[in-house]
Amino acid sequence: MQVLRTSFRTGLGSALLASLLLAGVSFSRAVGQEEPPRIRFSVDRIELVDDTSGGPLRIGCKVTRSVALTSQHNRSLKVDLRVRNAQIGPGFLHVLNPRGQFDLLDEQSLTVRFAFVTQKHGPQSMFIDAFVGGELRPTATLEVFANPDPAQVEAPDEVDFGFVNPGSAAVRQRLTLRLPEAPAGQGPCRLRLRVEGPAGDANFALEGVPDDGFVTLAPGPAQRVTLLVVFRVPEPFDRAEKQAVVTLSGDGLDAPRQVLLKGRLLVDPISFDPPAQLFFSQYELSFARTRVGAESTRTLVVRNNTNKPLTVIVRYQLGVQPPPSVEAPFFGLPANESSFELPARGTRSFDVVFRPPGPRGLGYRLESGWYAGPGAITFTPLTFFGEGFVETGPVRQRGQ
Amino acid sequence: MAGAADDGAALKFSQELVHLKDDRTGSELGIGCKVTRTVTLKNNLERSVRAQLVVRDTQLGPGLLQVIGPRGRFDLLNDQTIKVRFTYETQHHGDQSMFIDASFDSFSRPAASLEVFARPEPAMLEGPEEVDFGAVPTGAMSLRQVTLSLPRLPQGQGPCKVNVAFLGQSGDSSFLVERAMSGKLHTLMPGRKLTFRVMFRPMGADESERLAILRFASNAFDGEKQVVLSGRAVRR
Repeated sequence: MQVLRTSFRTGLGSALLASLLLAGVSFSRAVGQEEPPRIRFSVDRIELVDDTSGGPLRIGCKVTRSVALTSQHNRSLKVDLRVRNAQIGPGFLHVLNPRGQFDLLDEQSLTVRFAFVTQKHGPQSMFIDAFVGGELRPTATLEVFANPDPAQVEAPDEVDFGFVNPGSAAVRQRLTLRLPEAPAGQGPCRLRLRVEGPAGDANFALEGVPDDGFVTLAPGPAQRVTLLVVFRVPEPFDRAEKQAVVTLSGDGLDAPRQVLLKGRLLVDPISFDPPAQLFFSQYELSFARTRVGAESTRTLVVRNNTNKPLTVIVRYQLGVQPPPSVEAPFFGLPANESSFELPARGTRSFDVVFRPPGPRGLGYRLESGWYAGPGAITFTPLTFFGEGFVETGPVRQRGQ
Repeated sequence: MAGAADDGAALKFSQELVHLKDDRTGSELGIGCKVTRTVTLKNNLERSVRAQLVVRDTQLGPGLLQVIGPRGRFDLLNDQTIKVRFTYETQHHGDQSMFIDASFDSFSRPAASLEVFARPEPAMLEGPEEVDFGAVPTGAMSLRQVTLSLPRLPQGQGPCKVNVAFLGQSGDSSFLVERAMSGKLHTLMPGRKLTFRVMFRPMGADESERLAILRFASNAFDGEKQVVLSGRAVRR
């Protein structure tokens, strides 16, 4: 074997091999054997790049290319071209011309023109096979290779409805999608949008999606697709937050994108922090037992749960303890019948001081009503509660 | 195929590919533009043939490419050259290829093919992305005009004419588009406007923002042109 390798490296070996081959061809012609068809594409592989930038293709690009198909056969051949798509579905690569079976004459060179549309990202190879007559295997093959970059779809992480008013059946918000990076040659990206959630699509729905369920997103910073997310307002007393996701999928994306949808029924346009919520719209701010003559402070945060500014009016009423004639020992609160503004989603803090008066320790309860408007004026009660005690010294025993 | 010329083709167009561009500027064609071109077809055989030209549309609908002449079957003498005149009308953007196949005698397969290629640029409709009706008292009515137009560009740089279809509206039912828009196909030319009226009549006490979307499709661009309608109800 070593001797054979060595001889083939020499000119003598090559000449010997050529002589043998020629002799074989002459022999096969002499006995009338058919010479195998010889046709070839001008290139074996063509890598598709963007016409303008020379960079990689983007999703949705359509490019058209030409190669030559040449016969080196000594007579006319009947040829047809077939597309073979190894990794991706059909319909991406089209032979424009020639189509069907055609004659390729002796030594003739024919222009093969094809179009390719990128619909998936990542490396992808397709093939154009040239079949001669009744041959079962292709005589020549052209590989068409593309490696489009995935589309960079811009979408919000979430659409938050916050608290919605119980007076409406459904509320809507915009969901805007963009394909801001638009290199030359980038085509549109088709996306399928689907709402998925624990309750299916009972709470949320999308409006403005074409009938076929696909949204076509054209590239460019000025291009956008706006859809409406509908939040169907839950039943009264259904205060739990509702959640769902919009899933964006498509061949142009490297992975599905998700947009979180959430919202809940608004019961209280304002709420208080940190008091514990006793029941629907019932709040209480309790102070620790405080010695008569000392004071205890807690910060009360009033929160606007709505997306619009509110005017809040406060009204007070002393509770059953102590009798109404006694002044409430809570300080730092807005005056009775006064009002203040709360910006949308804004808060206002009050340092509330409980200073129990003497001479006896008692429990004090102050009831307040917080009226939020304009629009549907709602009333949210908040109770302040504090207990005072009198510190007594050690009891002296008689006779001591 | 006996008697074929040295180049191997019985019939041969003067060129294999015609890339259609604007006559004056040399730039790519716009949407809805119609151009006429002439090529020649030569009989390379040493005998007369009876030839025929057939339009083949690979991906597009019929009727865009039309051979003006010669039409039907015609005689092409030995070594004769004949002018082939055709028109092409672009009806959408993007690469588009169609073919004129020349066959002769009883051969059904084409002896020569001419590719007619165009690459019109997409053209977006100009118009508002959003129309805000502001605060409208419940039960009252507010009217706005929405105008769509095509950019006026130098000839050959932009579309000649495009079709615009109103696909409908989604969202809050407080918005209503005038009846004339519904389901109609409108033809729009550069410099001309498509104006329609939209009404906002909020009902109910809900003061949250009301939203709707108007959707338009066109042969000039992919996807849709959208106009978002917004408004708010206030108590009387």
